[in-house]
Amino acid sequence: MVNIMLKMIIKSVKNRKRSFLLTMLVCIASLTMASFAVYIYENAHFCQNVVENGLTAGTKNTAIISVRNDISNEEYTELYTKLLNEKGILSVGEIEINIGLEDSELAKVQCSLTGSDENMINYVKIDSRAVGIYDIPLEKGIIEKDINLSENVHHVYLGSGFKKYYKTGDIMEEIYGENTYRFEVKGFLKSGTKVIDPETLLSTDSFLDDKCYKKLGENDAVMVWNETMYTNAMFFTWSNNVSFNQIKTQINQIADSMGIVTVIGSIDDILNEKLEAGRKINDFVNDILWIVMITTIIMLTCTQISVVFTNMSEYGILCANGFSILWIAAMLIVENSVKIIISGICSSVLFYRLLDILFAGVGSQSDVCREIFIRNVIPANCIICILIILVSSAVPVLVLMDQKTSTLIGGNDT
Amino acid sequence: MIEIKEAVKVYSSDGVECHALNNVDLDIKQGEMVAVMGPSGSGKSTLLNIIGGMDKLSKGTYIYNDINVSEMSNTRLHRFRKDNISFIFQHFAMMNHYTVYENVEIPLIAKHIPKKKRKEIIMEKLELMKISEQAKKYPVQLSGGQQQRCAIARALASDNGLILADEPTGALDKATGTEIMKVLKEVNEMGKTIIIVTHDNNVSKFCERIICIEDGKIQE
Repeated sequence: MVNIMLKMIIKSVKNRKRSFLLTMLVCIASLTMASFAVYIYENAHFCQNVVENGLTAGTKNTAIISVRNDISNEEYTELYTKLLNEKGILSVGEIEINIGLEDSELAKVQCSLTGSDENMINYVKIDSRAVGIYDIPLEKGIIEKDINLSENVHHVYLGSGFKKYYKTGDIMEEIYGENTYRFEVKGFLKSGTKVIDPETLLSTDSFLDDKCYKKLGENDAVMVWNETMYTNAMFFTWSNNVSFNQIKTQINQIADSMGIVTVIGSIDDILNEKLEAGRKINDFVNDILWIVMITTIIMLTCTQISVVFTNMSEYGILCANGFSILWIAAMLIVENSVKIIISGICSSVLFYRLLDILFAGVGSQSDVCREIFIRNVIPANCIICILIILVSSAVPVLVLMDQKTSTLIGGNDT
Repeated sequence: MIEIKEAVKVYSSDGVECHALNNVDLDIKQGEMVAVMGPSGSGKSTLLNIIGGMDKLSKGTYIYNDINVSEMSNTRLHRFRKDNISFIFQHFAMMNHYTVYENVEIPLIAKHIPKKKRKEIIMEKLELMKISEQAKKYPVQLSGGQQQRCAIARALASDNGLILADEPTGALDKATGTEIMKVLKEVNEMGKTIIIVTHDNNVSKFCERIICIEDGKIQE
């Protein structure tokens, strides 16, 4: 009987293929619009979540210092040491994103993994004293937090792509200029981990977007450095016994006494400031997005129902000749499901492709797009599709049950 | 075969009640060919819908071959219709995207008749209606008379005891209408009970009994 039902559905669709295709186009366009509404809504909160989750303790009691004038390495080291010893400050650490390491063993291995001929590996460098600040999940291995600074071996955590070449405990030597560095493989990174970029976060020009962090892939690496890095940007955390303003005053006094110009920002305040700037637009945009979403769903459902209504005489004939309402409901659900599912797949492809085109010109947000697409857009579209299938099947069946068969066959409007 | 006693059917619309049937008593025997005649709004279509199990009485009883149809649930009514009643409509009620063969096959699929048996039955009925050569054609390729023959073949294919025809010649010219009535007469002579709703006197001439209905009451 399933075969027979499918044959009947196919015959019915063939008979009205034009309207079937047109309603499919409406479905694709509507679902694409709904996808954009979901994407825009989620995008505003996405980077906020990344920043909040990218730090071990979250954003609470965590701030950034950026040195804004040229200072010598000695002055920098002195500032660093004074901060570490300052009352109320728990930890201080530097981080640098996208450090290039040319002609190294790691670079050569990365080239063979990625097929690139650049012979340069970009990695993230974290000050060993700041290891506790960052949340860097590992697939294998442990982040060692109490590292002896006198050791001349730097720890390196590699992306999973390096597993073919290295194992935990392997040591490699790299020569840079006059210095020889030794790196020990301490573990392998979980793919997709995001590391916050403090300079970009502190920059007043940047909105909260994917430039605020680096997403670590299977061919990336994190090096824990046992020396001061002189990055000019540091994270620090402070205890609950003092307020941020007190800490800021203390640090400003230290910096002033040394003639160093600093910019200090609490991450919570930075996030709020950046979000607030967008919020005024966001609230308005959010309302519009909700209206767009609800309108899209209503439009799609009504289109589906009206198409089914044009077919009511066919269902009336089937009823008059012994087919049950249940059979007809099943036919409706199958036909609507096929149409909506195919439309859903097409709209997802279309949406993703449009995003690629839209963002290609402004610098890619492809990682953000992909995450929001998989985590939010696809589930939202699945829920919309199920809702439409159920409503656009149920309403005509209820009408069918209410109308007389002879009225349906007569083709009277319902 | 059919016993209807003290049948009342009331429709409500915007708070206004309409008595479509008003204490109707009716008996129809097996094998009869009955015409139900009356002006528009007299209740003849309502009576046909009640007999056909497409509507329920507000009051009264409807017994079909000792089965109390008036107390059936909607699910049982559907099964009752499928197993006992076939319909013929004024505008033929053909599926335009099905061939003649496939149209006649519809009630047999609903009854889960196996494919081989379906083919035998369909060809037998098409030959009986003298349209076996049109089996692969679509309804739009047939004349009105041929389409109605196809509808009658479909009604016969389900092998139900009662055939209800609602203005079966309403969409046909006089000559074709007469031809169709002759076919229905032959079907009646095969043992089928036929109830025809019509306001055409030429149709009622073929029936052995005429029931006149006016304002929901039978005037026999």
